[in-house]
Amino acid sequence: MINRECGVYKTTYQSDMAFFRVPLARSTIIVVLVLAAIVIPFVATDYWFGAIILPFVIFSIAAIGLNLLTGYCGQISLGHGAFIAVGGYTAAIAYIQGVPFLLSVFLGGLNSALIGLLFGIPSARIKGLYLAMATLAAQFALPWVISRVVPFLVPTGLAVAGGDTVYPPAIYIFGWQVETWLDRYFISLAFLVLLTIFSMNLMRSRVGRAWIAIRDHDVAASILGLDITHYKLLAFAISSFYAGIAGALLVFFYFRIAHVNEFDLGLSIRLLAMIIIGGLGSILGNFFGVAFILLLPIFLNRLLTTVGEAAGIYVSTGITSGVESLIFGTLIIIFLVVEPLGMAKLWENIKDYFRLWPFSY
Amino acid sequence: MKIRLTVVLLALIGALLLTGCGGSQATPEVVVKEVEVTRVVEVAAEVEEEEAMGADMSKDPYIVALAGYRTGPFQHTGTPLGNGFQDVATLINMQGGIDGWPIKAMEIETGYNTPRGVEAYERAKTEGNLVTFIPFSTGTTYAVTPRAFEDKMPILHTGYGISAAAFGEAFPYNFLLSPTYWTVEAATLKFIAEQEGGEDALKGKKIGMVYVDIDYGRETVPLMEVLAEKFGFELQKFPVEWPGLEQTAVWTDIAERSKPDWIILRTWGQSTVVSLQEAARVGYPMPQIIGCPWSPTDQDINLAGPDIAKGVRANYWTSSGTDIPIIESLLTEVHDAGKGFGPRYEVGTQLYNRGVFNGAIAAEAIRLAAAEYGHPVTSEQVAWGYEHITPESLKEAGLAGLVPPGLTTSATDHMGSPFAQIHEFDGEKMVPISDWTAAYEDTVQGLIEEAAKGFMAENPDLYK
Repeated sequence: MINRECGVYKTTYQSDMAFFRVPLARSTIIVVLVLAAIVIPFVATDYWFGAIILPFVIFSIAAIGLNLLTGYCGQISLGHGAFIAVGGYTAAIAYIQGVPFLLSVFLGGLNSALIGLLFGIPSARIKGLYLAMATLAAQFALPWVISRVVPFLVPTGLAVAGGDTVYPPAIYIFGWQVETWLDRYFISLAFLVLLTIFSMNLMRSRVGRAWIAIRDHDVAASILGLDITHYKLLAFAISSFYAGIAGALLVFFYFRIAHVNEFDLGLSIRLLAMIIIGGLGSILGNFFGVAFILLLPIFLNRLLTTVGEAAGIYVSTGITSGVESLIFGTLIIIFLVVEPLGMAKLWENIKDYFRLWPFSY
Repeated sequence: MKIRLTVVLLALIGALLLTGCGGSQATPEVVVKEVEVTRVVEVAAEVEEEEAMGADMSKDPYIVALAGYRTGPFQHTGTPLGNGFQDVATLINMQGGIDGWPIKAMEIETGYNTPRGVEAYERAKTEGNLVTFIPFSTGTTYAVTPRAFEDKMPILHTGYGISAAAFGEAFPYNFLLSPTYWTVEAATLKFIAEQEGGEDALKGKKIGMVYVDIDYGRETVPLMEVLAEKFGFELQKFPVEWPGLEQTAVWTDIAERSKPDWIILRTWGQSTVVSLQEAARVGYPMPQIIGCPWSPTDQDINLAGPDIAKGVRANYWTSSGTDIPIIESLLTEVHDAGKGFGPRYEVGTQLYNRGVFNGAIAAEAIRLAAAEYGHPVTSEQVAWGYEHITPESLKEAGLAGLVPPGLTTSATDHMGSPFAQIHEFDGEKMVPISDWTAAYEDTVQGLIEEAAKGFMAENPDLYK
């Protein structure tokens, strides 16, 4: 069987450290990439791009970033909504000032990383719930700062009173205009693939191992000679960099406007929910988690309406919205009860089962 | 063991689904029970008759989509808005639709969450002939506006969203059809001046603004600063951090130290409830609190406690109450027939009436567009309809009395009417206590045009 490890001999260091160590995993990832790059563009309609796939791709970047910090390094952050806002605003303002598109996205990530580094400093002294409170400060302070600084950087906003909304103009990359959903999707996907590979590589480097050591036991890691503060701050910076890139893409491609109220505490909590349900300390889990939190309510809503129509019953909006919340809440509890380690672990369990099947004793 | 657990849970979900769908049938029965038993037979006969003369359902319906929120932090405001919208669509279809063409009120739940609002917009476009999208959230309004430019889709954001959209040339597909925040606030100040005995009497008075510190709350501060200089009153600002659930410090300051003569309230949802409770706690006189169109509403007052909020005032741009032709029709033809979407007591409250206004004005725009271009009309043609609303057409639609007098739109004027009306809570409901008022229009209009023209200059790509 191609999914078994027996018979797959690793004769070199490279093959032992490969991303995908069994042939099936490698072929699966090729299939997924082909789906994403070739099949989806042909099948998906504007609705799918504009409402489902694009937010999925962009929020996955943010979720991976937060997972690096919380899942791998063990530092909780309730301020990622604000870091996303910083990235989005920086990129939009840079682009308006004439900085090329790709560079403005990068600047968005960089500025977000700086701010994240700043708000990560308390992690040198405090941890756990106390750190959650300290990062919560970012969530309150940054939108306040943004709404007061931005009106000075951009002459007029959409609101009558020199508001804090920024509307990025048409986007050109080396003279080519980004116009269709397909363009936006491919650019976001490129960022997602690059950043995913980077995070996977990071996890098998010295940095990744240090983060995991700090997460599992920070005192032990310190005794082993790791500079804990250095690695924690690095985790905050890299994590916020991801958030900043996601914010820039949200502002340029999805919302197509920077509006500070979108990046509220609710977003930070939704991001945390994504990585907890998807699986802390797992790259794959992020995609599950984003699908669950972002797309499942939409799916439930559509399902209830469709089932009602098919059965010839008039299902009112009042009922669907209530039932949707009910089922969604129940599902969160079910998933956490069945597998507290998240959907990534569920997926592992399924794989393990088939690895030994049919001789599972 | 785990498999068994999964099966049980799946069965549970199935059961929930079934109860959910079954529940929808039960809802109308509850309403019918309120009708006397002897009348039920008559009513049923009437319903059949009306259905016979209703809209031709075989025709492709016009879809008016609403991004509603019956769950989440603003559900007590989102629910009556949605109910009014649904009821008016039912009424229009019962009365024969728009020249026989049915209208479909498509409400999509968003929980006041912008990505879901965007999804709702994209989904509504795929469902058929979408002619108007109603975001009911400032965030969603901002997010769908760039898309509306591309799709040529009318976005109806009455009384919220982008104020600069009052200037139609800059925002050809955004329709306010109601006074902007600035227009209403100017009228509120005029009312205060009248209460004090003229604009000269404002000199030396203290006027406080309690507002949530987001752009919705802050938006009128610059206008008030201009007016404070003009009339010589002292403007005291009391910003409250969003979401505004902690206001103890602000109200203690108001009662003990600042002591403003009047307070203008710009909060939203749960923060309004907190404001009213805190005002009652420190004993600030309720009649000196005047809200903006979104605070306080009947629903906020009910949550805060009607006994403590007696006398509180708000400046609305739609009338509360049931003695309006279209609201009376909703009561007699929809609610008496047991087809009401929500509870009957909600009819006539401010937010319900505003939901009705949204649905009815959308139908009116479709009707006007069809009179010009013929059925079926496209969304771009409906945008033309929104630009040709006149008081006469509104009267025919039964909306006279619900909307500000003289509501007339044009390609440049997407606001229609600058009038607003002060309402006061009499212990049971909000009742109008002033005439329709507009004030300092030159100041306001100049600032709106400045912002809109700035936007046009910054984004030339949009107008190609």
